[in-house]
Amino acid sequence: MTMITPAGVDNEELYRLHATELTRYATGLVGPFDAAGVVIEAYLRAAKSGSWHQVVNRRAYLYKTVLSVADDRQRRTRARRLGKVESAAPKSVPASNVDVDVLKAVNRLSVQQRAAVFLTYWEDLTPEAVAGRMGISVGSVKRHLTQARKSLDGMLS
Amino acid sequence: MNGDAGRKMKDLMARIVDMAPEAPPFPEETTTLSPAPPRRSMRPVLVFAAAAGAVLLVALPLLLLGGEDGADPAATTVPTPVTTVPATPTTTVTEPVGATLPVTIYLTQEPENPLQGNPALVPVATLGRASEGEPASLVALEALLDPALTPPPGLEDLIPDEAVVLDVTEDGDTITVDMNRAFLAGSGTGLLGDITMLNQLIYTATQGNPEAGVIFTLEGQAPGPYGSDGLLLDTAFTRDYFRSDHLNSVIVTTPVGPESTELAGVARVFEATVSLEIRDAAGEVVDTQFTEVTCGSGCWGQYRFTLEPALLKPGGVVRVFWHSPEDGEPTDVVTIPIPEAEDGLWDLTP
Repeated sequence: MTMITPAGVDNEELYRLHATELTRYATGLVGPFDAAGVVIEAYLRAAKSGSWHQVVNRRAYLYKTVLSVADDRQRRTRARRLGKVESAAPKSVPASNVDVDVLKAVNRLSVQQRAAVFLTYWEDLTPEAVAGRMGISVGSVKRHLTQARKSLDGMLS
Repeated sequence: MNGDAGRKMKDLMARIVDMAPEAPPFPEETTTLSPAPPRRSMRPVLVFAAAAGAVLLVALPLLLLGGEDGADPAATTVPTPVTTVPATPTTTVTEPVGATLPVTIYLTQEPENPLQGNPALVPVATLGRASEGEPASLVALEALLDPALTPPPGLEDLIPDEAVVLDVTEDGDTITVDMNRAFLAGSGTGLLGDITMLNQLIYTATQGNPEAGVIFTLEGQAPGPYGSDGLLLDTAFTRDYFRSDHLNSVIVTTPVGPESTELAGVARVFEATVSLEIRDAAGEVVDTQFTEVTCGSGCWGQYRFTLEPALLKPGGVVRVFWHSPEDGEPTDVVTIPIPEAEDGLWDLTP
């Protein structure tokens, strides 16, 4: 799946064009409750960066920034017990949409592993393309996938 | 991987995407932005993000448990910006008095197979020009950033010639490195090169305190976006910050010279075994060893080799690596050239 931002779109158009897919990506990285916040923070961080106006592939840039923001949050945040999740879920995410089994499974992965799995299995990207999207080497992508599969072994039905 | 596991992964991703909330509305704040602000100011970003995410953050993220090394993540519910500019510098640079000081600088080495490995860091001993009162980390960084620096064979320096270290202050486990504006351009070789350049600086700056974190400032202020991808340098970078995804799985932290008696470092290797071989100037293997790393597969541990100086001939190399379980081939090889000088110091500015 290749999608390049059309030339000439302004910031708002660009955002509307990619917000849905970025929100899905962020959901894969931090879960449904924080996804919207990550997308907004990532967009603002990107749009305010000094190099934003020079970026050719802004979609790819936004993907990297979403990963960076998600990674920052992981480094700075301690997760609460999953048992508290359902009662704490915000109204913006209907409780019926929360698949706790899936969250427990993904919870075993690092943000980098989640990104590699999402881009590989949801976006169907090649390891080379995943590496480019994440800004890491192909070897690291393969390592993340291997570790993710190992961590999830036995949890997926 | 087999098809069944792939199908399960796809199913997992589909179930995650099913949980995705609606995309948040366009943040109108950005319509007033200038196209290229000269200095980064994270405060409006964080304020807005905190406001926009306030409702969402009432419930805590589910998926933010520990990193690859099993360390516990930090304990906050909302990301807290890290202050990057210390209030009071603790070290003042004085005029040079002409003394020299042996220091270790970190250069880089491309992986033998770029599709499988990450760049390696290689420690190299050289003489730095020290001024009275300067911390060794500043002397080392100045040696690393010398525009006339010529790396030994097989090694590279990714730092642009125009980059200059303006000051270094050390305060406990925090080292603040103040750079000039040319630093922000990064390596000019893409994101991985930019991060490798940061690793060169981080490892060189922390040679006296490997547990320290490095804060980068730009002319005394918080730096703007760094490198080709606009990385935000808004935290203290320790040696392990980038190593899992952006560095070779074998890291050597002791320089090698003709009189060296040990070689040490950290590694994350299969079955916790790392190997070493010494080759002479003709390429003949004159010594092979292996040793255990203090942590098994999937985690970083320390290792240490004892060297026989009589085997370390100028023009030769020391290679450190691990053996692939698939084909037994040396993997993540770090090749360290042996200098001619008996004291092990390279003259890098001939």
